[in-house]
Amino acid sequence: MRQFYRLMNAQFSELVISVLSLCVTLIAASWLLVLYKIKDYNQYAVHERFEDIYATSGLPIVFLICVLAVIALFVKSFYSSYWGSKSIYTLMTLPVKRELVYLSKLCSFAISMLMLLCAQLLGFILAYNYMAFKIASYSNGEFEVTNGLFLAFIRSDFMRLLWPYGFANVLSTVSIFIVIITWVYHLVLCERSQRRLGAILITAVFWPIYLVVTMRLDAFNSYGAFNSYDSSKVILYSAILLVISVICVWHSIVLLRKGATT
Amino acid sequence: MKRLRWSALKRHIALPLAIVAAVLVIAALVQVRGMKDQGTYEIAHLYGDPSVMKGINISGAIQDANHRTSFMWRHDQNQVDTKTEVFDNQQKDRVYRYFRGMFHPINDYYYYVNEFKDLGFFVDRGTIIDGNWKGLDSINLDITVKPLVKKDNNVVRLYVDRNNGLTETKGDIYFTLASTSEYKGINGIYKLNFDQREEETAPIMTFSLDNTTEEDGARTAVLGLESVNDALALLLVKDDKLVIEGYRTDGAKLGEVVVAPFLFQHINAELADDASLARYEVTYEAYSQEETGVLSLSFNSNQSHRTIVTLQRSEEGLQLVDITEIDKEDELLRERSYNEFGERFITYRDGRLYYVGVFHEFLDKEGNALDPMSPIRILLHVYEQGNIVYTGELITDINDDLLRVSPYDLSNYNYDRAEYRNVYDLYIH
Repeated sequence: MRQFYRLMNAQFSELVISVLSLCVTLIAASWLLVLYKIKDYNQYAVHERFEDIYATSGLPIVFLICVLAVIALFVKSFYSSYWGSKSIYTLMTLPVKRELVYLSKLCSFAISMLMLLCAQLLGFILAYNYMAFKIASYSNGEFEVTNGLFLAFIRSDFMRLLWPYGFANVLSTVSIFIVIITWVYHLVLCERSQRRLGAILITAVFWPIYLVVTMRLDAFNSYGAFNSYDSSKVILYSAILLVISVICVWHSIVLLRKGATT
Repeated sequence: MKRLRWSALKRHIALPLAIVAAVLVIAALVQVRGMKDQGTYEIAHLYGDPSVMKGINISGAIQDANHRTSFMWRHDQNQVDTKTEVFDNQQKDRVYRYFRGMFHPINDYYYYVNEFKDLGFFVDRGTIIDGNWKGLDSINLDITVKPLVKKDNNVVRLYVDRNNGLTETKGDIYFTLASTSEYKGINGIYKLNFDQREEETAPIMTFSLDNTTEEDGARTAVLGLESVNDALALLLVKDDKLVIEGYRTDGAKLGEVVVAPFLFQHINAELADDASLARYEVTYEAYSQEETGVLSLSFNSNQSHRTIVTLQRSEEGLQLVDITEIDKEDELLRERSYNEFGERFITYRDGRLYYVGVFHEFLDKEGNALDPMSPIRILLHVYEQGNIVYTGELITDINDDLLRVSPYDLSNYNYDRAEYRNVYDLYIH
């Protein structure tokens, strides 16, 4: 356990400053983009609801870019042990089980994601409070929405995707993040050990994610019942994603044990 | 020195940061989600003595596609209890827009009355998926009702809403064919059993529309079928009378109520020359109060008032209790003409008529009464012997949803019922 703890801290310390900067950037962007969006608001302006301001300010895209950036940081830290110092040899010859090396890296990746999600949530609340504060400064109650933060939270498609209600939806969000983390790690391990399974899994990962997300957003509803919401299907796709995650973890450990990645 | 401190810190940085992030996420979620019952629900006394509200409670719900807040408005205790449910996914079907004459919602299903020229009448049962009707079952009824062919234009105008012939009591659906005075033949009350469609659906009772021997004289018109507790109320128009016949679910008669004169614009308006008599629309609303066995029928007239005929289900049968005329006084407060999802409820108790409903507020008289983008007020009126004795209001934050309309005009905005909160299922206990 102590070995794992040390390894995890060592892995995470390579990421922590960049991830923290990303979190701060995301929170600042939440505030700045909403600030920019409502810069012309006054008592004569048409006021949109906060969830619409948030969606049209581009923050969902900014969040996605941040997720990609965390993935890139992780991939960079993974490859950095192959470049220059070749510390991968040290890592592989440490007197600890290879599973622990794998798990420590995976955990540091997961913690980075959790921090980013936390920043997204705080950014949303901060931006809402900023807007409410600004509107309160000139409105006599006519532009304020009672209990608006709660309403924005449950009415925003993006927030409902990230912070869902209901067992099936929570399961699907959690499984999407788990599969992204385990699959990305597996992909780079496969690249190092020249296995093709990593590439093959791309479709297996993205098709269920695509189906779940479109279903939960009701994205195709206006064209008829292409992919309407069905909680049993959401659970099924989540289960597929979790099975893929298990395969990724298992195969990653197999590759590491074989030493195929060095 | 600085480098040394960082190297010490980074040995233990992962776990604290993970814990901080997790705690922040949980705290934020608990806080935001915990605000679900912090909406505004306040009681205002606008007119009269609130003591008439003793023992009266009003329930209802405010709902959009994402959540539903059920409330219990305990007026005499000055208290509103609320309970909010957030839907797992958007419930667009639950706010499916109903138009008169379209699919008629009863409990979990939608119903639709169909007529085919040679095949007769059908009652379809279905559901709405993604805004589209999906038929599940259909019952063919052998009803020998035929339109009279008028000599002048050969056209029979159907002014009644056939869906008014559908009612539910004790979980069973009953049906009669609503028709104007321009139909002849034998009608009946049918119990619809969608699970045993192989058996022919027999009527529990039949009645003739032909109360005249004249070849093309006006016949009995059937406005609809309603229910209160276990009794069915068949609404008929005979000559210049509104006749409400009570029936048990086995077809046995349960009294009869006659209101005369009662003239309908498209049925028997020509029977009286007196222009001062109100002419009613054939579409009516029925409010059944299960606990007291009171059925209130509301008719709109061309003289801008609402007449409420209240019947009581008693041991002897259906009895007339009260007729109250309500003037629509305030031009700037208007109701929607349809009561789609329980935007109104009317009942009669202890000599008083209680009337709770959603009113749309307009800035000027030209405002379009159908415009859903106008602010909503939930008002309660109490009448005693035709006079208003009390007005109260449930003040909510429902109009905050109209944010983007303010401060501009009410038109030119797309309205999606799923995005705006509306009032549902008002009921007086």
